[in-house]
Amino acid sequence: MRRLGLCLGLGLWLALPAAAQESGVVSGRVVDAATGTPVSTAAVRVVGTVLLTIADDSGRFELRGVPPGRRRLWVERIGYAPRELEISVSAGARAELEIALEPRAVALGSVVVAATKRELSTRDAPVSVAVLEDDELRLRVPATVADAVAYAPSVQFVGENINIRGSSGYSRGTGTRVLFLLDGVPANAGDSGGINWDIVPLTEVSRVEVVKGAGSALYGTSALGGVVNVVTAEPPERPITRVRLRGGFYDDPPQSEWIWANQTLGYYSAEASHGRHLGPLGVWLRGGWGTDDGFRENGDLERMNAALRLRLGGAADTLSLFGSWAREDYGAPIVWCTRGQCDDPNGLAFQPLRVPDDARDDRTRSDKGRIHLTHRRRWSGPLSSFGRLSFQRNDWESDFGDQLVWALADRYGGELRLGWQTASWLFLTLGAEGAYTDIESNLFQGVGEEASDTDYDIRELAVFAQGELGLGSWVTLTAGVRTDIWRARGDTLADPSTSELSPRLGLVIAPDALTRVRASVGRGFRAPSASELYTATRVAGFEVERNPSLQPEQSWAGEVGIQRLLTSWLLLDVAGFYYDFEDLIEGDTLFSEGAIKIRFQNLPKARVAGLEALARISLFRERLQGHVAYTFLDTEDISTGEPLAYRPEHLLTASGTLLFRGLEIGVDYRYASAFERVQVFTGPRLDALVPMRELDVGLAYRLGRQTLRFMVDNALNYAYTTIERNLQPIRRYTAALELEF
Amino acid sequence: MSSDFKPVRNLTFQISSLVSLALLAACADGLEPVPFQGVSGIITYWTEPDSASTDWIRLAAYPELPQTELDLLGFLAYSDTLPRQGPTAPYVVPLEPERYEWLVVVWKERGNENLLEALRAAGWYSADAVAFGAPAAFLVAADSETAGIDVIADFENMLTIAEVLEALP
Repeated sequence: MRRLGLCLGLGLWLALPAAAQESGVVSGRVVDAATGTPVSTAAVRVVGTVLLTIADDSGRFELRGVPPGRRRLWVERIGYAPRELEISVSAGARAELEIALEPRAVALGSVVVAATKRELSTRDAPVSVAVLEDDELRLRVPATVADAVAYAPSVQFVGENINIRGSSGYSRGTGTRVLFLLDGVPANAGDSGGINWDIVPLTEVSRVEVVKGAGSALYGTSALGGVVNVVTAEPPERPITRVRLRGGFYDDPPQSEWIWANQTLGYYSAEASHGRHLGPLGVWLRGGWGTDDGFRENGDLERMNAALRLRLGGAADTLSLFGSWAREDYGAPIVWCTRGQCDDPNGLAFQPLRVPDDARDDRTRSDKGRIHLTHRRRWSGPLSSFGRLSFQRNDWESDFGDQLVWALADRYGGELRLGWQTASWLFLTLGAEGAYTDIESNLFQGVGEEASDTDYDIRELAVFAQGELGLGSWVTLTAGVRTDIWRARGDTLADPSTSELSPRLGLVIAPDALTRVRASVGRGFRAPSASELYTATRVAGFEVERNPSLQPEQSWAGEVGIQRLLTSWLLLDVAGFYYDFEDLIEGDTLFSEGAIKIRFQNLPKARVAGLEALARISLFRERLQGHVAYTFLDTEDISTGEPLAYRPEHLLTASGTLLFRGLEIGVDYRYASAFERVQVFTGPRLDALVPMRELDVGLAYRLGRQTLRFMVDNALNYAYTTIERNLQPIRRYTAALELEF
Repeated sequence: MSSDFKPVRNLTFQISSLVSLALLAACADGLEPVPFQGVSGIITYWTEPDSASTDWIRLAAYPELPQTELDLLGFLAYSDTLPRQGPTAPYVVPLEPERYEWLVVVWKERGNENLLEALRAAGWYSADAVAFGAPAAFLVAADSETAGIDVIADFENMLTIAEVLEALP
């Protein structure tokens, strides 16, 4: 730590004389060249420096501290051709510009915050980033944000676990290696560490950022495999009311022998939101309700949620409050019915849409609520600050007939961060954050008569620093380090603790306006979640055995990538990546007594190597936009030589959107090769492993501000699993009406 | 700059790309119905097990009669856990297609992880229709279910592993 402080101090001392130099201000407005309307979220950067900003909702931008002289300005936004222009900056003066962007061409950079904790274009990020914009999110008529995130390149869901570049396997939502942020505020569940997607108000999501690779140098634990940041929309200047009605039904299963219900199974939801300004206060208020019969036995769900967003102040000084609450009540089928577990006149080895007779009434109820307060301020000098306070509660119980299991987790968090534009070539980020999680659960104490309510808590404290240095006119270096102290305390055999140092180095090279080369290497870590540490229970035929010697996991992760706009209609991005894991936590299954026991264990050494290629296309005069992304994964548990469980070797996503006279047609295809290894059921006949193939087709018709959408998910009615004995949803037809007033 | 690029004119390439994708998507051969392959029947609880001391009850199948403790503990094919109370319960054991010489009801004592002590035999499949009669063999054919292999269990007169090895031919 002392060495880190010295380095930071030296950097600041070197930077101060530069900051004191006379500089100019560049400000202005970004507009659409065709319509003259403001273009928001355009990235504006002074070439050869780390000076950058993002245009606000009215297209306004301002860059301070610009060195005097002839400067080049680079402006880009998704959906527009990028533009480079030369400007003259005078010391102590302001240059006012109006920059018109041509709406055309293949998508270049989107805005991303999560990559470096400040807004920049995805093309300037030292790591791979995928961004889903609001239009892309809505086209698929998703029920939750997770349904939309599943379309991001190189992302796969294994059960409810999000898996980025093979970093995560499957552990029933426990201990994800992906950090979930809501407006930049951590939102993973306090007990399991998993992601509760339903706390996100889908209709008011502005964009979803998926950052790939280890992010522990900025975010600490949980960001070992990547970061998903959901950015909610700002309250509108003029009053807007939105209503979204969604309904649909499931088709018959692809095999007549699997039909189990003698009625059509459907789903419905209604959401309404209202946004406006009350004087200086911006408000978004939203509520939603939904019900789903489910496509399989005991797969029904009822969902309610509400959210509130308040914003006070302008771009330079903003106070925001976000609160959301979600309740779900759903059947909890853990595995499908195998021969003998339910009455099956067809005599099949398994009935994938039915559950064992004794699991027909298993249910789970969950309540999730969170509130966070953030304050952003751009001070008069080169300083900016960000502070947040957050609280999240996860409260759930599952009734398995003969057993009721429950957990209640409260997580409190806070962060203070400073951004310091010390010179045009150096931007510093310094911060500290902490979290306290208080958990009660009867899962953690054992089974049967010995069960009792027990308190556990987890304490986290961290400081971090990052510098972005412009080295010459075409190289940007990002160097960051974070130190974390983590401690778990419970009434158990062991109270683990750790302190971790996570450095990261990133490099972006821009040899010309159309090419970016990026490289990064960083250390990551993840402390085990409370569920991984303390669960000891027997439920629904599974026994989870506690491992008192479970240790935090660490990794070194590196990637090298290149992105180039090859022609006006084709952008290519290729990246190679490598993770070297130590003590990777994976659920292991023991059969020593003929019983199925699951125990979380540390794999001493494991690795994931891979290659990722993405092509974005824009054809037929930009009427057809799309992408094709391919990921190759090579994983290994080095101690056994076997591949890691639940990781596909090949992952392909392809997406296309065709615009034609008010009609929008979207087609998505996702393929993942069959897992080479799974962990729980390994029988040769009952657990056939097949590749994942899913084709989704959507259609939207816009009439003014009203939109009618149709969607066919799993149009091939292809039957597959991502975890053993759990069929993925069969073909379903959805219609949605979106009204805006 | 990107504005200098000419729009693509190669329609053949564009259309062939789309057709390739469509063909790729059409190659779908997912999960299909799989006929059960194994043995099934009814277990009759001649006497009931002590619920408090019972960890689990399963049926295990052996291609050959076990001769040693190691043979006995090498569970390769077994059923899900069975009910702790009778009077009867259906069971199935998924099995590879071959001849099996022994199908045994295995009881495990709760809280005892020493398998040599914790496991007991509560009965096995026999043509004599008693819990511990002469073991009877059965055949499992490919893609088919061998039904009607009924077993009687007597939980008040269970045999230890040593007693089992003595009782088997």
